[in-house]
Formats: sequence, structure tokens, C-alpha cells
Amino acid sequence: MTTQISSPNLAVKILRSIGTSLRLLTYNRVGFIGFLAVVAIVLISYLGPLVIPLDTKTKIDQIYQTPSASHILGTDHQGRDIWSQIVNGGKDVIYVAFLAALISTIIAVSFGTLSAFVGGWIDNLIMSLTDIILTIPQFPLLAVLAAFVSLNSLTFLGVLMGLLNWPALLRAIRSQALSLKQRDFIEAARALDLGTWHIVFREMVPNMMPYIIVSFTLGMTSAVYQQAGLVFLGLVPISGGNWSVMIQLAWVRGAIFFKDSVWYIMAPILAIALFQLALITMTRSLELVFNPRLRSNE
Amino acid sequence: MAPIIELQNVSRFFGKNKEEVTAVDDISLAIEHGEIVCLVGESGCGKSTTGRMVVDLLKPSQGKLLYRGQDVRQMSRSDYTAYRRAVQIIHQDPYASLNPTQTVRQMITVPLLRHKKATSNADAERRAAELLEIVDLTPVSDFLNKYPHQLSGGQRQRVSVARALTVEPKFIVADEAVSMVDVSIRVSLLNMLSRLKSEFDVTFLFITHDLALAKYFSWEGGRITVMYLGRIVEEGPTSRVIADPRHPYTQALLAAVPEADPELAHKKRHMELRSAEIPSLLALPNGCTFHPRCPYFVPGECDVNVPRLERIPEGGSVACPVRKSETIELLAA
Repeated sequence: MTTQISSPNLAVKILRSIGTSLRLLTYNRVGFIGFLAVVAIVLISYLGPLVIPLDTKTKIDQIYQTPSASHILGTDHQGRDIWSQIVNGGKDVIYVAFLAALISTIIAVSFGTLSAFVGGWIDNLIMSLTDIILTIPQFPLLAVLAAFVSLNSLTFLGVLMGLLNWPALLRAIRSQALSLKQRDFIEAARALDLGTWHIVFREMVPNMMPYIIVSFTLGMTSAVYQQAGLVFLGLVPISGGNWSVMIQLAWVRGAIFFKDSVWYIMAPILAIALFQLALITMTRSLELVFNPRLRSNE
Repeated sequence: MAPIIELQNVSRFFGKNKEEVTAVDDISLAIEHGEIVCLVGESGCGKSTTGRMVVDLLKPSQGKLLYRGQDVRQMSRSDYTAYRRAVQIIHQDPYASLNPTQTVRQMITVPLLRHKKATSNADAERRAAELLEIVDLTPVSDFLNKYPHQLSGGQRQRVSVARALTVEPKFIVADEAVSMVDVSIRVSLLNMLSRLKSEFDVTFLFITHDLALAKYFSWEGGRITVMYLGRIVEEGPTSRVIADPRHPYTQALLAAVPEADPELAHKKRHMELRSAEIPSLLALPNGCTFHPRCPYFVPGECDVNVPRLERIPEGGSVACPVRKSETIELLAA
């Protein structure tokens, strides 16, 4: 056989793939702005602290200052700079949300697809378990759990939320997988004896990728609200500053009662809202990135 | 030697209770190694269901599927794996049978590597290129990196065939494999499939609704089996079934084949059916299921007794006690 097959090396392939992804992101303008905003917020949260350290010094003479050149967002009840707290308060929120969404998406996708593809008693077992967890109100459960275990580790909080957030997504994934299962190319893969693992993760999951990635992003947004709620109720005694803790502190300190202190409570709320908005608008572009029809001119 | 594939009194039902539908009703079919068997019938007659049962993508409700004389349900694990790889299917719809997220390269190299038909990635690439050449997708380098949506229907169908060939099958069920492809490239696809039979020793079950295609594909030594509403109504060597059809349904099918030659089309006898309507699978007629449409309907016989397939001396068998020995002239004088 003399046929020459061009097979570019891996590094070139990856670079090209990233290039295509970036180009596809720009197809939807709103989505691309969302994507840029997410990148900016993540960069500020993880690199910003190196440039702008957290202001921890109490300055009695500077409490509740309005925005000015030296304090972009004003100061809090102890005269500390709010902007520095915003810059330093993002990474915990993003980390917990990412971890929770990652774990719940992995559980939902793996078991949802498996449940649909294998069927039989495995399907029954997984679905019963899903229905049971779905009926438990999550917020009160987390509140009760917080009374027994101390939720002072961020990783633990993220894992716990991830372990509770998968059922709704699992059901959606399962129903998608059920219809995929009937498709001819899945039958062909079964006839070729490619194995359950291959069929689930190489044939079915890639076909659901746009949906999965959007669900993952939406899972992050709900995890952000969930942790903010838990912190606000004082159920998660996380020390150190983050956006959720700032809201709670501002509330406890009565920041809503003073005209001058409105910046203190509004800054973290706006930071969270902006992050959520950016995530949600980004999903519009993410759908395009995983569409093989658009990717193919690589 | 035992037939490569044998169906013994196989039935398949769908649905439950009142909604139950009998898609395949007590059919038996034995296919010898090296044979070409065409399964012909109109849509809904259970021919695709039969095909999917042969590949074990669908389990029979009743009856047995035998591979080389062994019951597929009672095989050892290794024997089942051997059967699974030896029997492949080519689907009807070239737009649904390829995974839209995979390139041709992936579709073909993955089964090669998994089943140790290739020793390394480079070897798999080489084998993939060979397979694509066998199915006439050349130059190969143009196709390896293509996604399904970049290919035409005929090209996709060739990829399906190449993919089935990765496991070196002994038996291929071609389920309406050319019916959704442009008429102009049907013949080359059919010739390619015929070539596989001789070069790779593949036995075919060719499922089609088009008697003309069945005739073309199985003319040399093949057999035609005609199904109507889940039952086999006639079977026999292709030459006999085409030249001397005995069952009224086969005659009707043949009479309905359009002729390109206007002279011939004029001469062709039109067969007057009593009804053009196909009965609902939910309420099958008693006796012979064809009797409400059959022009030779004998009251008291056809609507009461279910006809059995009976051998006829000219070759094959017919499930019509009324007409089994009557020859009919399809061309008017």
C-alpha cells in the first residue's frame, strides 16, 4: 500500500484545535463577551491577589468611605479597602462552584448514560436512587449536615454540593441517551462489539457534549448561589474573605442601614451577579464550540 | 455442514396486551455458507426486524437463532463473541449510521485496534487505508479526516461497509443498504457488495423492498424470500421466483416493478388487487393475511386456514394452497 496518509503531530493538532475553538467562540457576539468576562473575572481572582494584597488593617478614621481614587469601591466598617476584598474574594467562590459542578456533571453523565444504555435492573437501581435524592430538599439537608460536620474546608464543601446536585441533570442526560441508544450508529457499535465503556464515553457522550457543557456551566451558577446562601445563613463558618462572606458580614454589620455603606454590601452582590451573567451568556458560545459540523474545517 | 445462520420458528412481538403487534410470525430461514439470500417485502412486513434479530440486536420473542448450528442464547462467551464479530449489519439510512462526532479515521481504526486486527496505530492506519480502497473511497487521504456530514450518501454507505469489514465478518445483513442512495450510484454499490462476496467469502442477507434490486443482486445462484405481514409467503431460487412466481403476492410485486422500456411496460400485465390497503398490524386478517387483497380469494378457505409453506417441484416453497401449482404469464401476448 503506497497511499500517503498525512498525520500531523499532536502539538500541531492541539494548537489547531484551540485555534478553531477560539474562532467558534466569536461566532456568537453575546456569548463571546460572556466568555471574555469569565476569563477576566477568573484572571483577576487568581492573579489579582498577587498585585493587590488583601487590606486587613483597621483604620477607624476611614470607615464607610465612598469611592475615591485611593479606594475605588470605598471602605468597609473597619476602614478596609473593598476593592481589595473583591479581588481577593473571588477565587474561593469560583473554586467551590467549579468543583461542585464538575463532580455533579461527571456523576450525572456517567451514570445517566450507563443507566440508559445498559437498562434492566441497573437502570432501575440508578433511577430509584436518583428519585430518592431528588425528593430530599437540598438546602435544609445541607443546613442539617452543617450542624453535624464542620464545613470549614472549601474542598469538602464543593465535594458535598457536587454529591447532592447531580439528580436533575442525570435524568435529563438519561433521556437524551435513551434516544441516542436507538440510533443506527450505536447499533453498529454494538454489532462491532466495541464494549459498553467505548459506546458510552466515545459514541454517546460526545454527541451530548454541547448539552453537557451548558449544563456544567449552569451547574456552576447554581453552586455559586447555593454556597452564598449557606454562608449568608451562617451555616458555613468559612474564615477569610470571599464574596459570600462579605455579603454576610455586611448584613450582620448593618451595612444596609446607612447610605454611605451601600457600596460595602453592593460590591460583592454585583461581583457575584456579574460572574453569573458572564457564565450564562458564555453558554451560547460553548454550544458552538462542541458542534462537529462547525469544527470540521480544521 | 450446518447453515451459517438459521432462524427456527422465530416470532417477534412488540407492545403489550391490546397494543401488541406481531412483527414477525413464526418464520424459519436457513442460510448456507456462501449463499446470497434476498428478503423482499413492503415496508412493515417485518423484514428489518428479521435482519436485526439475525444480528442479535433484537431478541426473538419465540424461536431460536442458530449460528453454525449452535443456539446463540446457549453459546459460551467466547463462541458468542466469535458470532458477534462474524455477523455484521449495514443499515439503511446512511445519515444515521455514522457517528456525527467521529472522523472516518476514528470509525475504522477503533474497531481494528480493539479487536487486535492491527498491532499499532500505524498498522491500523494502513489497514484503514486498505479497507477504504476496497470500498472504492479513493484517494484514501481525502477521506480519512472527513466527518460524516462532509460525505455524500453513497460515500457514507461505503464507510459503513468499510467499518463492518474491520472485524472480518463472515455474514453481512444489508438492511436496505442502497435504498436511500441516489439511483445512479446504486449499481456501483451493489457491485461492490457482490465483490465482497467473492473476495472475502461473505454470505449476504440482502433486505430490500425492491424486487428488481433483489433480482439484480441475487441473480447468480441466489435465493429470494418474500415476506408479507410477518410471514414468509414464498421462497426459492431467484431465477424461479422471478420467472415463475406462484404466490399471488409475489406476482403482484413483480407486476408492480416499473420497466424502463416503454414497449415492455405496455405489454406488462397489470395485476388487479381487491384492495390496495395493507391491513393494520394491530388487526391482522384471519387465515392467509393476504386474502383481503388477493384476486384469487376462495371464501371459506383463505380466510379460515393459515397456509403453510409447501415445497414445489420447480424449486423453493409457496404458502398458497390455491395457486401453488399455477403458472402465470406476466407479459401479455
